[in-house]
Amino acid sequence: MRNDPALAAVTEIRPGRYPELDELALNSAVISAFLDQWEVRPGDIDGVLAAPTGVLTDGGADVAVHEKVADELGIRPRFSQTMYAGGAGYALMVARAAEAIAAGRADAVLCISAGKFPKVGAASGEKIAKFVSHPEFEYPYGTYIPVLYALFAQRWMAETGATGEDLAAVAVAQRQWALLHPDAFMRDKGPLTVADVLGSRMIASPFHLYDCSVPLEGGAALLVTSGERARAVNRRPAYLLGYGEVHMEGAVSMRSTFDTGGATEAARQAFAMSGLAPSEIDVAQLYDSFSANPLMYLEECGLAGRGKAPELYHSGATAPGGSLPVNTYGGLMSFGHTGDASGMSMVVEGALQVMGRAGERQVPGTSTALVHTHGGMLSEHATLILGDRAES
Amino acid sequence: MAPVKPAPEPTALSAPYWAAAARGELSAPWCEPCADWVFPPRPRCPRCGGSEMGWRAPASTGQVVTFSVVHQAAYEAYRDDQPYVVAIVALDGGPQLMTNLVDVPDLGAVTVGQRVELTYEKRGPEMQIPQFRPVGRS
Repeated sequence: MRNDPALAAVTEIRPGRYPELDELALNSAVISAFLDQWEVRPGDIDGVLAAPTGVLTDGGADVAVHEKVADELGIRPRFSQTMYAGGAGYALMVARAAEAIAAGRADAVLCISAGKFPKVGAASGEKIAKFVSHPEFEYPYGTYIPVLYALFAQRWMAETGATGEDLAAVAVAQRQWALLHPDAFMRDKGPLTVADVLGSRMIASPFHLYDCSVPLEGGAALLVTSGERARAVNRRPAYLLGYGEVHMEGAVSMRSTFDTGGATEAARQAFAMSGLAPSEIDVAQLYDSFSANPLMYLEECGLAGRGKAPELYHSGATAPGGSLPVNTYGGLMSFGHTGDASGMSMVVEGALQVMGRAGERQVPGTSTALVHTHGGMLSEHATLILGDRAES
Repeated sequence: MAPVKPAPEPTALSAPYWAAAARGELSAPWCEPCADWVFPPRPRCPRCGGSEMGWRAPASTGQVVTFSVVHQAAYEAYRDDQPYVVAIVALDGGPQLMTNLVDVPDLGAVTVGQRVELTYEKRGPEMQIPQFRPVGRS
């Protein structure tokens, strides 16, 4: 791309519970943490992409968060909006920011989000179920988020012969990574075994409790700039080498196929743009609402053959020291799932690994990372390929 | 009072579907030029863009495309039903829809590809929703 767009700087606050902060206040906390960590002044930023706050709360969503972020920074951006595509929204922010930078419409775009889960209880269970389901043709059948994801997982398992042990192996490997991350929420819980996962209570088959991500609060910011500006902030930025996106049916029951969640097409676009082959990917960060997702994405992104992803987990390839590390921050299952901001976490980690800034969990020699994110009920898909060298 | 499971709220587009269900019939929009279903009901056919929709009776049998046995209910209204089965069923000749599998003798024996047939469940005084059960259970 023109101007070699890159992730120059990334900051994520520790996932946890912040009862005293609403999502706007969490956005402020993210901005403070970002400015503390990086040699970036607000005046260097001329673009803002933010996510709505308060989605599913009684007060309704705030869809003008970009204005609040710009006001807090004291800047008048020339490229700015609040955008939403669920968990895929952040990889899409990076893509939109890169396009603006390549077109000369912005020099430095801050992409930001903070998320919380709506309080469960009262009527909110129904509200969330209705939001994620077709209100007439799905909601009356007792659906909610784990069930809708389980429908994809069960189909994939039936077609490939994958088992509950295969799913559990994902949770186990990701916990190993979380033990190396100072901010991972489940770090204190220690290692996890396949027996622990299979022994945890069943939520919606095939998912046991430990096949599910951990609902928390948090947020992150990404600064996307031209390669030249990025190198002034960070001697080793993460260049955007390729990206792809696809938007599938919004309601699960309408899916014309359950063979793909959508990653196949998004990843195909990203690889074609980058000129890289799947064999050239060093680490993968794959959105894991549930344990089945990374397995399906390894196959859909071409990093494993059909039905072969479980072997990568059983052989240790995806774990620390393995040949294809996956979700090196612990994933949403062990690092934590920060509500609507969760799609930030795997972008942040992909960038940190390429930048060589992942601390104890750094995978030596990482020069490329694939990040796949989804939003909604596997309806929105966005893939990024990051690298330590600009394409040209 | 215990919370009740939700009844569908018909729209102008879907009213014929739910009225048929209340009579114990299955009826879905059909695009004549495409000779295919348009489900869920829409103002326009997503294939040809046409708006001339007829209504037809799909088959009352089909097979399970995928499913999940729900052990932790979505919320209070489903607590007494757990464990319950949520499934996607492809009717013979189409279309595909979401359903619960009811009258299932062994939840561990539900499979992708399993044959199912239509039944109904009352929701509220006047509504009922289509449901499916394993074929051969009488």
